[in-house]
Amino acid sequence: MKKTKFIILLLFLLVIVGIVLISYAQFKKETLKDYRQTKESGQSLIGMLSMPSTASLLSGSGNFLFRELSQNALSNKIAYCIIHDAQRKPVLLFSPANIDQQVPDIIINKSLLESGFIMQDFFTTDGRELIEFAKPVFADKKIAAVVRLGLKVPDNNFFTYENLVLPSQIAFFILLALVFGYYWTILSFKHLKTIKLADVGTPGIKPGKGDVKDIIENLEVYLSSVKEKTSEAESRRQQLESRLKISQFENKQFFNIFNAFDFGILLIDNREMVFFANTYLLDLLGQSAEDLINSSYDEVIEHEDLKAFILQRSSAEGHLTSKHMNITFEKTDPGQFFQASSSNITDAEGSLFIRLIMVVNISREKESEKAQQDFISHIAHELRTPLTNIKAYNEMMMDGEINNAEMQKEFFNTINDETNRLAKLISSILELAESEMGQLTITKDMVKTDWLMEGCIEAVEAVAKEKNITIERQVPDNFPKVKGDKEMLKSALINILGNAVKYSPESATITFAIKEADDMVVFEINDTGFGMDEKDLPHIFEKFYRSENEDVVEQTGSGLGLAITAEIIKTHDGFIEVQSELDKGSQFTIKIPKGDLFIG
Amino acid sequence: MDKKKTILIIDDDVHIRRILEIKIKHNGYDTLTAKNGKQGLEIIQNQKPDAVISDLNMPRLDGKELCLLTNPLKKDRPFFTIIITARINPYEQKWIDEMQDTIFMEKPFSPSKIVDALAQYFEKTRPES
Repeated sequence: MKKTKFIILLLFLLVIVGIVLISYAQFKKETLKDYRQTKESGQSLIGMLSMPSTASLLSGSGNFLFRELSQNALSNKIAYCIIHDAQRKPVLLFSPANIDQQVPDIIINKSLLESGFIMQDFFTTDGRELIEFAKPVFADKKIAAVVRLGLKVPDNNFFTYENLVLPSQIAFFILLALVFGYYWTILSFKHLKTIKLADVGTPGIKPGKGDVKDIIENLEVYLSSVKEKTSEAESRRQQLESRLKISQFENKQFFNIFNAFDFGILLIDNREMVFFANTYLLDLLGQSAEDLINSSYDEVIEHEDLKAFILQRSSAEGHLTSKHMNITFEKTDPGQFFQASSSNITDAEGSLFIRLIMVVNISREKESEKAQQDFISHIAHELRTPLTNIKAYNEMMMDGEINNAEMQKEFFNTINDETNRLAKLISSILELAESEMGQLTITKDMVKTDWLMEGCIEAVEAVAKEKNITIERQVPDNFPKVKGDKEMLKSALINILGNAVKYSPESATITFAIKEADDMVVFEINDTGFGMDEKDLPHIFEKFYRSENEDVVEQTGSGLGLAITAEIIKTHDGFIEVQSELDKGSQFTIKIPKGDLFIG
Repeated sequence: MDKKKTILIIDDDVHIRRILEIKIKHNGYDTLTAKNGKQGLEIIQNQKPDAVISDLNMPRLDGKELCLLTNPLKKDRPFFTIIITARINPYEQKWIDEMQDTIFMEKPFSPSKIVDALAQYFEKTRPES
């Protein structure tokens, strides 16, 4: 409000100054006009007075002249009129108010001494402004007289009618404009009175009479409040903009991280729109990000199972639930299995704001699970087969179905053989378990290789003799020593030597050699037996693996022997290699670090 | 009098083949034997046995592969199949359920139970006279 008052005051002052200036100009104009008129009048009058006839007036008809002058239209302007004779003495004097006596000498002298027309502007000793006109009167080419005429410069009063007419008109129009302006403003602002300013929550709004002052005051308060709020809004906008930028940056960073994951991620917002899908998932779906982002998942996801899973999870009750479903994708290999899981992510108030769908490749887990299941199945098969025989043969005997003595003997033998098979199998499984735990449990001693060789041959000798198989020894001059568990090492070598006997035809020869190579002791077992198919070689050390070769299938076996051997050799920091050709035989090479390395 | 039913026994274990052969013959059936699935398939195709008793875990065409190959044949000529297995993997249960006229029996089985199952099947499928 103070500002408004100041502006109004300033305007008022400007108007006053304007009026004064205009009045002053008018006054100056009038003054100049009077001055000029006085000069012109003086010039013409002095012209008349200086006619040659004026000289004749000196003789005594001066009174007539002055009477004429006093009756002249300019008489009120004439201060004095003096005619000097040839000697410059005043001879005729017309000075109604004796003003002539106040004329400075310098003016008089100049008028009298000049021989031409003189006009001098001066102030009398009492401060009156006069113009003196002087002109000599010539007679017989000589100066016969000098006429001096003093005219008053009119006193131009500032406050005259002429001076005040124009400013008054201007002032009138300004006043008129103000009155009209005032009412126009009132009329213009009239509707503003209906605005309930208090409703906009602006403090400081006062109920008024509805005049301009109130409206302007209220508007001023309101506008200042609007300005304040605009400023607040601008500040908030800037804050939000910077937060948005930070958020966009963070989102981008997150998305880059998500894209680096080796599992699929799909984010669905609370409007059921796809918010993000990482490259892993896009590859699986065979769709592009443009296809999915900002579209309803129901419309854009082409994978029916995944879509059904998302729908199923969206209708599931409760938050923070996490369930999964196994799915496959056309684009991947048939053996690839995936698991989709869903998590509802809620904000601090517990409202769902995004759903996270993850698609993870579980092929390895599936494979591992299958391998585990297969292993259990193998063990079950291997254990239950002899058990089945024992049970079945025994049941038949008990039921009295076998009366023939020969057959009864066969049955008892079978039961006995199968019991031994079962016992051996259990031993093998235990041995395998022990060797797998070997790193932790075995105690290593110095083992003589001649002792190992003889022990192994002794173990298989009986069976070899039955098949008329010869075992040839190839030995070094000095038997080296190895460091290890002697029973385990013996068992490993017996498995190899036993297989050589088992899978060799009758009357075959097997070679058992011990050599030294660098820091290792090398055991080589060569046979000329059935050999192995190329396709079997990569699998022979796997648990329960058995070749489908007719000659192998004929022989009983658990498929654990070579797996146990490989595990024992590994435990002793050794290596096992095999070379084999079908129908020609096999060569197993086992390398174990020398014992003296350990004792330095 | 019905014609003697022929039962095919497929197992890589000689003792199981032997005991089943004796038990089944004692119960009035004819028997055929095979050492593996491949041999068994040939016999099924050529000699058309009335029932097949097969081990699941065998070299050269295992019991599952044999079932998958022979199941379509059952549309024209139904026959009974008993799968003997040490253990059914959870993921393998599904395919057994999908096979026609097929049951499985866990090891160690009782030979009497096998012949009971055979008798039950043949009784059920005997044409009304």
